[in-house]
Amino acid sequence: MKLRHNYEYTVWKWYVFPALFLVLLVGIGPLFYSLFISTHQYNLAKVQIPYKFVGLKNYAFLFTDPHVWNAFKLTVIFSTASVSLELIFGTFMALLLIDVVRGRNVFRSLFLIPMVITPIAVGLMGRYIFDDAVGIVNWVFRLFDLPRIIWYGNTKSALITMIILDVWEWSSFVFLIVLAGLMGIPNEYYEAAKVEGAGFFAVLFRITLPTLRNVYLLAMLIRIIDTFKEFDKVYIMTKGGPDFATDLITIRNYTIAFKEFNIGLGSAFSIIILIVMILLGTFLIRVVQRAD
Amino acid sequence: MKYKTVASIPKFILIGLLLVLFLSPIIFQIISGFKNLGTIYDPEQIVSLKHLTLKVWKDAVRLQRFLFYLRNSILATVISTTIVMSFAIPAAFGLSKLKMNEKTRRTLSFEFLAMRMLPGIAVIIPIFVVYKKIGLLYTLPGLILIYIVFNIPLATWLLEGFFKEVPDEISEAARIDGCSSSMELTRIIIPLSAPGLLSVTILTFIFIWNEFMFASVLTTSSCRTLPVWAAYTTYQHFIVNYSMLGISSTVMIVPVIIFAILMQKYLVRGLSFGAIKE
Repeated sequence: MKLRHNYEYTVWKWYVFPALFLVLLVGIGPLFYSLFISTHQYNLAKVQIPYKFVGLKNYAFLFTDPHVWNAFKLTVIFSTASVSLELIFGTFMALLLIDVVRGRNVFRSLFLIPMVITPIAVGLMGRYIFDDAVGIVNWVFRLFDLPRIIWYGNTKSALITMIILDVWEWSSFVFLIVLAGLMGIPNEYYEAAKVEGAGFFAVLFRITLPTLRNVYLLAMLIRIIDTFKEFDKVYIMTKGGPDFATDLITIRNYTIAFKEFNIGLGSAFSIIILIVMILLGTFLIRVVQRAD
Repeated sequence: MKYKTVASIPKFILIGLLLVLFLSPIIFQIISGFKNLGTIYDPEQIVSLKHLTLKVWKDAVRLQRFLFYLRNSILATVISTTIVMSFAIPAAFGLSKLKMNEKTRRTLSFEFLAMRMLPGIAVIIPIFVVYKKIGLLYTLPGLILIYIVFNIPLATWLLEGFFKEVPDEISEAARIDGCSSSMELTRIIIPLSAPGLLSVTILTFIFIWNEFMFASVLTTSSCRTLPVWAAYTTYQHFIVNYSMLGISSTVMIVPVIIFAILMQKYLVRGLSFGAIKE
């Protein structure tokens, strides 16, 4: 009987280990190799630079590189602004559509489109609609007699353009999960509030938003992580320019590793990004878990 | 009737405005594939539909090898998705239905979720170096291998959620009747969670179809996928080729839009890590 019991507890390994093995070998394994490369001087473009061990020199260089600090600063701005606007916009949309019962699924399908279409297509779309000469955004601005803006070709507005595009792409995500959360709030809460004579904003801030706390935390967790990983849209639109105005951490890292082919330095940077993501992810997950 | 404060006509105007805001840029982009560059760069014809033409599409098929890149994208996506599912289904079954130490179960399950946070840029550099050494660089199989590994974790995590919804009593009853674990998976769990399986398959398909960063580093003109081709073809000459931009974007997004509309309910669940179950 004991033997049979033990056998039952090992069956799962036959099912889980193949996937686990593959993920650890090809997904996690390279990270250790990256850690190794990051302590070397290793440039694929310039043969005159020899491959050799340099210790922590790559890391020291990165910490004194103003472009690296700039990249982190821009990423924090991009993430904070995009995620806050998405939360506000998404909530607004959910409150607008919560009562619409007929056609709700049609609206949901339509609002789902921006977030599932290829990010490269979104970036190319941004490139076209924000074109200062033939883009539709400036065309609309002209209709209302607003000034012509050079959106992504200008250091002042390039990052703002990226934020607008990210909000366009991902507000629906917040909308969809807040909508689902709203539909889960029992009607009695609202009836009680009505009896008490609570107004729209009292209901919103005393009942709706506090009840949806976890929904919001989850939306923030996913969006913050994803904005830190943002690459496709910005790369296709500006490649980090003009003059480093949209040079997010991923773009900077890509440029170091695959434009300058400085593999050693690029690895060191990617290890730093990885550590930042692990710290950020752990912190956010702790916040979500404490709320549960 | 929860929020009666907003009257219904202004409300529908607002919803209409939002739809215009979200969808008109996509339509504008698709239409640009039917205009030649002369029309696109004419400031008087930004919104005009007068000079639409199929010529750019014909040229794209004839001169730009776009069918070849389409083939690469379809191959990479279909092969990767199939293999992802054949690893993820057993893994999710093991983690959700079979007997094991609860602590191990939680740890492994969390590991699969945590992989979702791993920034691609951290893995791509060492992969690039290793691929260069073993000759997988600039080949489709090399790209497919990365797609498989990077999509197993999320697929497993989502499938776990779907499999858990199959009541344990059914599995118990089957086991008493002498059903082995493999029969339990193929005869009970898979048929009973078919909608879930379909949605995870489609979600994986979309993720791979849309992927750009790995493809841009690991492929060259002999095995480019659509997003990489789109990036190249738009910036080929001194001016941005907005006609090609429209065509390449259309080819990428139309299949995804069709899938998204058909699978709306399940996609929301997938994109929110299974948090939205409705």
